[in-house]
Amino acid sequence: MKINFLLIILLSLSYQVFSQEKHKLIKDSADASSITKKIFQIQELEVKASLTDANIKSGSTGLSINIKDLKQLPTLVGESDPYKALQYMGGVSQAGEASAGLYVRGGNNDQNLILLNGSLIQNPTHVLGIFSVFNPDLIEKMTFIKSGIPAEYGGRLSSVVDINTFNNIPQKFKVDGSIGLISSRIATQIPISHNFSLYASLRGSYISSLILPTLTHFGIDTLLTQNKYEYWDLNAGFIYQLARKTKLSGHFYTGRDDISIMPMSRFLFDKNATYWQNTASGIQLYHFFNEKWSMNHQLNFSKFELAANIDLFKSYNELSTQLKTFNYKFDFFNFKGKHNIRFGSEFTYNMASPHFVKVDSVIPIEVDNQHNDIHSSQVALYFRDEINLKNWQFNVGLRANLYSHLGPYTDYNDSGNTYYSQNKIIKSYVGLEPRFFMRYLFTNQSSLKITTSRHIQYLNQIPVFSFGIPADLQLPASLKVMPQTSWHFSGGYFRNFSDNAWETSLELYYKSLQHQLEFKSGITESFTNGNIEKNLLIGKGWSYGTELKIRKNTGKFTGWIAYNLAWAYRQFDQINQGKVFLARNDRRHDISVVSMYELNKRWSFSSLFVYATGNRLNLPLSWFVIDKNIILEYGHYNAFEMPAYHRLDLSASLKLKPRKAFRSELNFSIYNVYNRANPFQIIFDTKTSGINKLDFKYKMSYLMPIIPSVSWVFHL
Amino acid sequence: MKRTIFICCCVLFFMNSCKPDLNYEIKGYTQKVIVEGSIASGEFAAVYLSLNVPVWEKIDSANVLNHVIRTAKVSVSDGEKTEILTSGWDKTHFPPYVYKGTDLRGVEGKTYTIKVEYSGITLNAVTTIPFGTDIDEFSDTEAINNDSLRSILMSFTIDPKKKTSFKVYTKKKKDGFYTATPLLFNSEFTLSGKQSFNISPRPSTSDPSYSESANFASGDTIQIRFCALDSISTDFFKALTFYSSNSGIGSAFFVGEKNPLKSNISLPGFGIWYGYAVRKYIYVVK
Repeated sequence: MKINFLLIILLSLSYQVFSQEKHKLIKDSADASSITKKIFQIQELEVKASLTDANIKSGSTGLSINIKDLKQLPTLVGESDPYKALQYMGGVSQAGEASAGLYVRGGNNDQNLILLNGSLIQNPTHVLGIFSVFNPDLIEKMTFIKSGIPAEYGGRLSSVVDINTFNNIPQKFKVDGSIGLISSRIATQIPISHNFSLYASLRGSYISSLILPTLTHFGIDTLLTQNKYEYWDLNAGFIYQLARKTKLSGHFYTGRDDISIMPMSRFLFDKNATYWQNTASGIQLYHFFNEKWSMNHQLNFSKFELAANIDLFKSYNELSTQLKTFNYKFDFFNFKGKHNIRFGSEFTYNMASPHFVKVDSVIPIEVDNQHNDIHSSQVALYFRDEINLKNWQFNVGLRANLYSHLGPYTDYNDSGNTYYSQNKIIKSYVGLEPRFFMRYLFTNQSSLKITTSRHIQYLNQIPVFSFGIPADLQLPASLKVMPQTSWHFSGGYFRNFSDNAWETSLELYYKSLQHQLEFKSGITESFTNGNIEKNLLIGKGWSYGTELKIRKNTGKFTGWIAYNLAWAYRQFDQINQGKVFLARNDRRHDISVVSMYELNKRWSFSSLFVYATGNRLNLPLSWFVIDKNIILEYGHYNAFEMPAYHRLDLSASLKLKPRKAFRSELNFSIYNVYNRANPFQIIFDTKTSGINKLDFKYKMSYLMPIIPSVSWVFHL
Repeated sequence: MKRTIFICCCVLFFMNSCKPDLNYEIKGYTQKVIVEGSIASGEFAAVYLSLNVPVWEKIDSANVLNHVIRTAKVSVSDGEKTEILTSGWDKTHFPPYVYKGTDLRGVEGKTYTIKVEYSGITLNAVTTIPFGTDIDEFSDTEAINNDSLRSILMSFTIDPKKKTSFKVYTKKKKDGFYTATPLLFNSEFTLSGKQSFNISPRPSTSDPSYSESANFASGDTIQIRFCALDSISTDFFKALTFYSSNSGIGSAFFVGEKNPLKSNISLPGFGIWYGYAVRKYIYVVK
């Protein structure tokens, strides 16, 4: 706690230098880029927050993320992270303290489709969730859809987070950046010609080189300060206006995190280290035939790899997991009268190495190395029609999938192994995902929306650790693992008042989840058993709840209150003796209160209060000693509830006097104002200082104390 | 000045008043008689009895003995003879009170029944001592980065038909009791033929040999107990690793088990009554 506090204080002394100037749209209506903009406005209506009645008329119950509003929210160590801010928007819960993961309507963390310019991002976390992998300087828009997901999106059960970087050629050369005590970043946009531009950004941390040695110098817990938490990421891309109606753009992202925890003898681990790396790249081609027809082609590649190692029992244990996806997608858009049609196809090839274990030990540890890489292909065809009839709007779609598990693969059986050669189709799953959305407009300020949809997920992530460091194994559907499926029913009443100055909504949902996966065993098994397909438990789940939101859009005082009342259950035949239990992410109450106040042209204030019922936890009921081991006895699965999570953040902005083109502002913020000790994890601490001298107690560990921060922002 | 002090006090009050406590209500806790009983080949039965302790109860050296059962009647039978065990203190163990046999010695291949009578309840369990395995050879090598310490390797031949796993206990000259190597060898019963096993005890911080870690001092005389366990005992001790708090696994990375630990003691008891074949060796480290 003390360490974190000091660390964050030091971090918050950083200053930032970045420009917030946005692209100016080319005003010539004949220019292709403005056509691009028009197309986006039509097909992704929910993104355009400038339409104040968007919540009434939008064709889904997604969230409108206004990047500009987002920057007014209280920030953590000077960073305004759009992805993290989703957690305050209603209907979404953060996966836990220090996590960038999301729980959407009772779904698991891996059930969110996260796209960066169309490329898959498997793990959005940087540095234990303090930051997400998305560089805020590069994001132009973000679409978040939690129900009424259109047919063009597939592959996940719970939500879509579609993030796009700048897609227009800047008018002038720009450099944005920040320099801090834990990390720095620089981003540049270079217009090479009137129709071609490049952009690049680099972020990196140096916690182990600067902050931790400083703490060590002052004699603060030398053991802890040997730990290492570092990340870096790189973005690069280009935008090329090939012709008046054709645009080509490309992007590349790669980012890596390294975490290592040095000797912790009482935990027995001599060393514990984890790294993970996301890489995503792609090329998009937009072409507009005429006012009715246009098309979009995307070629994407993404790769995620993670390796965790623990030195345990005189042995070096490493587990690694990897997923590569190659994806080609094309869409056609047709706007004709009352119909807004989109159809297309998607081809994906996945190469996963779900669980590779390596043990280098002087002790002959038994390792089951029945390892299998899983290769798979997926073809999806989709069609959707948004039909606008006076007060009615329907969005009817269908997504058809053919997923095939391909060789090489060895089916390990007690009766004998079966080998499948390369590219042989081992098992195919055909899946249909009907999508239906209906909106009825009572008036221009009130509407009713109803959605029903089915979703199929072929790429799964199986968590093996239950604490903060992410070590989720990448496991696609295979001969032995069926795809996850869900049905989602949702309905909501949306009502605005005072010429859209006030927005209110009430939504209800029910979600059923099939073929949910859990890792069967504990940490030791994960390091000694290379065949994860043998180590899975399969069950089902369901969740339901209601979401209330009140938002004020205009005036000096703006903000919103979002409240969720929810239940989430799971049932596995092999867990809890087959009885139903509450899901880890079951949160009865979740509330976010966001307020922004503009005092005058120079001063503005904002606050954020969040409250969430604690996660469910499987804790022991009693303990006893056998063979000199303190044994924990467990009761009903997930019977315990973590203490509630709540905190208040405040921030104030002072615009300094502009000097010619130079504008700057000071931002003061306090994260966790009343220093709530929100539990990060619960551990059982046992000490034996003699054969009959036992000291047994449980402890909660905390991560984020009160964090004051000052940042200086200027615009050139 | 008074105002500043008042503000500081308010801030401190805020900062200290917001540490949550875990709502650790009793949710399904039931008191159980915990049995840790064993009978080794050529040795008398030894049984330790205690009560499980609720996690929220504060335990210290003063009240820990309240959870040790000292008034039970424990008897062991091989089907022909029955012996009532005598009790007494055992300071080398926790719980530090043992019920010990004086007549009936364990024999490989034979089945033994235990009966515990305590406070109006009766618990029963059955075990069979498996057939043991001999060590073929010991060898030692210099420990990495320390030429005064040695690492001991032992070789033996596994007969897969026996379906036994192996546990090793060692006692260094300076130690007062045996320390286990925290690994159950052949716990999946998949190994066969000649195998090697590195003895690596895990002395606790209070042991005289703590600094030697999993190695042995040159010239030391080591007493070794090489134990063979049957499949029921193997499953129990294998599962024990996951439920064990002080193994480092349960405490550091709270795994959370999916189903209760299995026991071969009848309800409302819990624990293990196991027979094992033991081979004893004395090895002088080079």
